[in-house]
Amino acid sequence: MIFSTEKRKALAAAFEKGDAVAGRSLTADAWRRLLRNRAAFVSLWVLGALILLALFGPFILPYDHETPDWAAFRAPPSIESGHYFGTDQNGRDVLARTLFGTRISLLVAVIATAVSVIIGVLYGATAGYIGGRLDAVMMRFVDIMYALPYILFVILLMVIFGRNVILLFIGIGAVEWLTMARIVRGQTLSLREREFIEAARAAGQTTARIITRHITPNLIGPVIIYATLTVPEIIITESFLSYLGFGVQEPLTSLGTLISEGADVMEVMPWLLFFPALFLVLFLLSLSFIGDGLRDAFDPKDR
Amino acid sequence: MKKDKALLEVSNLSKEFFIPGSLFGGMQTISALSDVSFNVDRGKTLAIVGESGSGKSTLGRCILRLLEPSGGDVRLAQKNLGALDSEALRMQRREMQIIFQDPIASLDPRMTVGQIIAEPLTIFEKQLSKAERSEKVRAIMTTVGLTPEMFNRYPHEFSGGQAQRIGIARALVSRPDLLVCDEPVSALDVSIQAQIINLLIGLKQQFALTMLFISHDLSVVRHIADHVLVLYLGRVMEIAPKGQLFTNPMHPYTRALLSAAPVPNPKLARERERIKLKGDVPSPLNPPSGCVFRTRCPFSRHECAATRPQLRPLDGEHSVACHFAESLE
Repeated sequence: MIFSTEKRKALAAAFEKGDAVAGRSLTADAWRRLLRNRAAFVSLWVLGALILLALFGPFILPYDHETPDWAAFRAPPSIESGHYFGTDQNGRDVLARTLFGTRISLLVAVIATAVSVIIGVLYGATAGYIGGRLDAVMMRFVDIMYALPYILFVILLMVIFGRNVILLFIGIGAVEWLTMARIVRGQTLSLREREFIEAARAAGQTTARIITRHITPNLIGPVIIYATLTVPEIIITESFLSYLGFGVQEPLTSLGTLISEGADVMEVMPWLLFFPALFLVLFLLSLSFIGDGLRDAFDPKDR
Repeated sequence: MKKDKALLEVSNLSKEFFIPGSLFGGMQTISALSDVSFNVDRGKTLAIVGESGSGKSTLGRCILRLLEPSGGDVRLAQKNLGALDSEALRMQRREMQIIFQDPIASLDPRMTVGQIIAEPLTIFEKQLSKAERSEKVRAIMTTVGLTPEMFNRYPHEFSGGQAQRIGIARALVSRPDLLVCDEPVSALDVSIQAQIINLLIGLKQQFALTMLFISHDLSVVRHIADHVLVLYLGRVMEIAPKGQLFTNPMHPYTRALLSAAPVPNPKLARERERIKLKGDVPSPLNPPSGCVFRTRCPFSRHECAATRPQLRPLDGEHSVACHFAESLE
């Protein structure tokens, strides 16, 4: 009830202004719900701090990731020497290397996830929306790709294009899109039957624009969620490939590489394992909490 | 265009769906529509009535080629829609639009009302500037009884009745000739139904619309239709001007439908004679021989099983598909 005339007048004035009433979009709603989720909220801050550290930390530190400190080999963490995380066998600062490794791992995560999302969404949405024979052919291709060991695939890429970090990231993304394509196709199959898609067809919209303007935006929920869950997988894949010698090479490093090196010497120099592992765990944990939070935030039943 | 010509001519339209049978059985055929023919004159409203599963919605979709018909012709203003390639058909959609049964489901949840209504304009009137387009959208919103403040809101913020108004605005913004209404009010409250029906009647005048009004609600049909077509198991049972159909139904099925419709006056409701149909609608996988209605018809005889009654004109515009239409009482 509006009791006072002033209030009523103010309301009427607001209505007359017209566009003052902005709609609350589904995305804005989801964002609000995400921020209300405490674990996701904290994780957002942790992730943000990690990203800032990885981007700008190396500029502040007195040591870089590749120059040995001749005065300190295998030094344990200490405040006085300025090697807060200690040094490795070659006298390189572990903090600098960890930050640098985080940077590379983030880059892997971003590039490979972007590649897998773009290919997976377009591929899956096209197969699902057009359906029929095209769908069958496209999804059999995905099945075949699944059956090939991806290591073989990455090695082939390496042989053809040479060793290149960016290419490696793209290679990983090009493997990870398979699951994304399957998920998106499944979602599209159910979206396709919805009336608003039929309405778009009835309105004369082209197939390409139905896929880009109606199907894809409505896939945002599951795609974001699956993407956040893909990131850890990609980081682990990258460290595995690096371990095999296909990934990033010295003096560049990644969290995965640091951990595998640290694991070899953990009995004598535990700090070589502990700090990179701590960063990876923080990174992955915050991502999965954010992924969980997003899943809940986008769940329409929770509205 | 000659004035005496019908805007929409449907002849011998049929639609079959194929569903996989048992593992080794191959495909089974469902005949959803069979041999449907009718004309609708410009500016008139044809109501299509029937029970669930009678093929009403399939008919509407086949006419718009949202579903590919299996046979027959649809002509809109003498243009054969079946002969259009996909690009020509897409441009033809400007002239023929549809509004849907579930108003909220028919609006893209991630688009604002303004974007939804503007969509046909972005397809058919690409030359419009953004401001001109927004101007047109606001104008049509006012026409259908929405306030322009709703321009930036999202579908989930609206009630069913308002959402249906948005659907109507989207259908009319490109100024179509033909509007197919697929049960546009059956998902709404009764009080809202009346508003939407009256809105449609007003818009029909204003935009010189020809309407195909699909419904199972005879009281709504009585309000809006000029002619009525009764569909049963995908076949036309009877087609007649509204007045004749309601006062003098000739087909036993039409009579049963009319007698099943609720009457507001309880005294009349008690007194009138109800025709109760036996059994359920037969499976369209295996329709009865001869007349498809004979399994439930209180008057069925031997001939009904032997020969399928053709739709035949009785007098004027009144046609019926029953061997014994004249002799029933």
